[in-house]
Amino acid sequence: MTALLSIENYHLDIPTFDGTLKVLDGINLSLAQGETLGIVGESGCGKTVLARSILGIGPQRARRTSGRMTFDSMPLDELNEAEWRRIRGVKISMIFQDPMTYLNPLLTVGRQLSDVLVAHARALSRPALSRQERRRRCSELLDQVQIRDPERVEASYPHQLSGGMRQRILIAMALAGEPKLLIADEPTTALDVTIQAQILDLLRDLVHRLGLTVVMISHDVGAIAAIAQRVAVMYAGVVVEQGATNDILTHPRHPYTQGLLGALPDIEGDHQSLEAIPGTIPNLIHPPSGCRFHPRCPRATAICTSDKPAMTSIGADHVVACHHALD
Amino acid sequence: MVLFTLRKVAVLIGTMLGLAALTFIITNVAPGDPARLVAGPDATNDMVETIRREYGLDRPLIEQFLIYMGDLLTGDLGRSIVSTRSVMEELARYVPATLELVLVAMTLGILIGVPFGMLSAVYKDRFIDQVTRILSISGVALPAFWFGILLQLFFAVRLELLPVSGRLPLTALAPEPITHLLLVDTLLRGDFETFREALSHIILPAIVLSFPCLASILRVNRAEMIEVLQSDYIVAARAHGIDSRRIVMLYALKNALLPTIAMIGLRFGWMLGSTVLVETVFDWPGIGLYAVSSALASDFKPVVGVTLVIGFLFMITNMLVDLAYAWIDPRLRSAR
Repeated sequence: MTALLSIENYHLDIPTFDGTLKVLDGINLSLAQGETLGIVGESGCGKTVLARSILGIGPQRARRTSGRMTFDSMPLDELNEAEWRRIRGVKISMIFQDPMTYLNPLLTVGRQLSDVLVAHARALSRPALSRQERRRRCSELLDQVQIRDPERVEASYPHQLSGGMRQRILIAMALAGEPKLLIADEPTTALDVTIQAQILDLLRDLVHRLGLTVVMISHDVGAIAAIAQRVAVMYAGVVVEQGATNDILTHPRHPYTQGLLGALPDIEGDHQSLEAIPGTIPNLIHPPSGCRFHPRCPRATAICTSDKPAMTSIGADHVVACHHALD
Repeated sequence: MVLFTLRKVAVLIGTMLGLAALTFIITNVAPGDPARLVAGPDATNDMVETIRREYGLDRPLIEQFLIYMGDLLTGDLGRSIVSTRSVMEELARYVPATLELVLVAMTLGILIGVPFGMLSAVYKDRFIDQVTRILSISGVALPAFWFGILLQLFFAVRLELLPVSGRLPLTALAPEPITHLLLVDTLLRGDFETFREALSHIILPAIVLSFPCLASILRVNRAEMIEVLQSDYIVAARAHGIDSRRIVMLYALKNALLPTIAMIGLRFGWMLGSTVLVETVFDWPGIGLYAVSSALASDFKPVVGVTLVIGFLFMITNMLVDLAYAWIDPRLRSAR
């Protein structure tokens, strides 16, 4: 099966006043049609930059230093703005972390949604939709994300709606162009816990019903587990472990993955010992030599400070980048 | 929105009354005996007392205040001591000239400041941004009288393209007034020859007056645009494939306009109060000149009249700014 999205040895730098941030350090990921991939990692590990780079909307100053991204046999790194416009929203689309700030506060929901439809029609060189067609399509889309009173919602401004409602609208916008690939960047992080569950249910339902290919990014392992068949664990701009979700959650092989899972509260287990990973995330201007995790790793030895561990296969569809992978 | 507007109008009326009361208090606290001033240095005490009675200055302060406010409401601002004409009549002559100048200057400021602010935000640190930076720094730094004289020397004296000063040539006849704004009246009357004359007279003073205002509108709009263009909803709009022109012109500009409009309102008030230099250089028959000459002659009534007019215009502008805010931003509409 050929990959829908493939990212090969992707390096990304962001120059700053203090020096160059080496944000992504050789990312390898590939995703087949219909697959759902989760990317977990703590804040600042490069998840969001990676996700946005897939859509060409990363930080303006970000520079790819090597590697490439291919989507549907198109080289994403070589597209110009006009070509991007035929991809964004209609081939690859994205939902965002904080529904409070990702909708324009001065335009009605209906206006923003129908703007998206107009843009898609133009991107696909389809004839422009008539007013009625746009309205009908807007209602359909809102219905798809289980908004019951589309008329009221369309006439509303974002500040008049709840967070959950706004996230539904952003999901509707992302699905408006019937994209092949959906990137979900922490779609539940900014929501109340009860709303999180609703949005996750909705997403899972849509993914199954529409057969979407999904990259879901989160630091919430539970949310990832609910959606993704496969998981990639990121640490400081590096994918350290990748495999089937079940496998990774039950048998983590990388010390970081183990630490990450150990830091989760467990409802059945011992309530006293919530294990934190010692240390803090590294400075990406001067990242640690060798394995970027070694300063915080309990198993680190001399080789970890000198050699960057290669990605090695350690089972069916399970790879890990560690000199001392756990058994 | 209707309720919001009504509330703003009510506040406006209250503020206007407040300003009127304040001007009364200030003129009465100010040192100097107006009756003696009117009577002149050689007047006897009897003459001063007569004038005091004539002007009602011998009555209790409260009564004077009520009379003053009553006169104000009926549009009576008293008489100028120097010209002995009614202040209202004189204001009606001078205010439209200044208002026209300020409106043209403001239009220039907005028409140039907003688009160039936008462009220099989109092309930050590129060529156009450097050009507008020079423009806006010189706008703030150049003194109006110097810049005005420079333009006169170049365009009027050297190139002889535009008239040096005045509002109309001596030979031209102003049209029968409708709005008292020459540019509007000549158009309404179909008198295109005089319109052209009026336009050529207003260009230089309007440019000089608009320059600092243009500069600050440009800088505010640029700074806001830069910030807005980095906001999340712009990222989202890009991700949804909305084309960049629409993103800049609608999604970003609408948000960036709010502080720009506030700046426009402030600058409008500032312009009204600072036309005097430009009016002096270009011999423009406006309230700036009128106010200064009245103040120098200790002619109180015109000074109060000018103060009230500028104050009222400033308040009306502020109300319009508030309404524009609410019109653009739905959050403000529902919040109050």
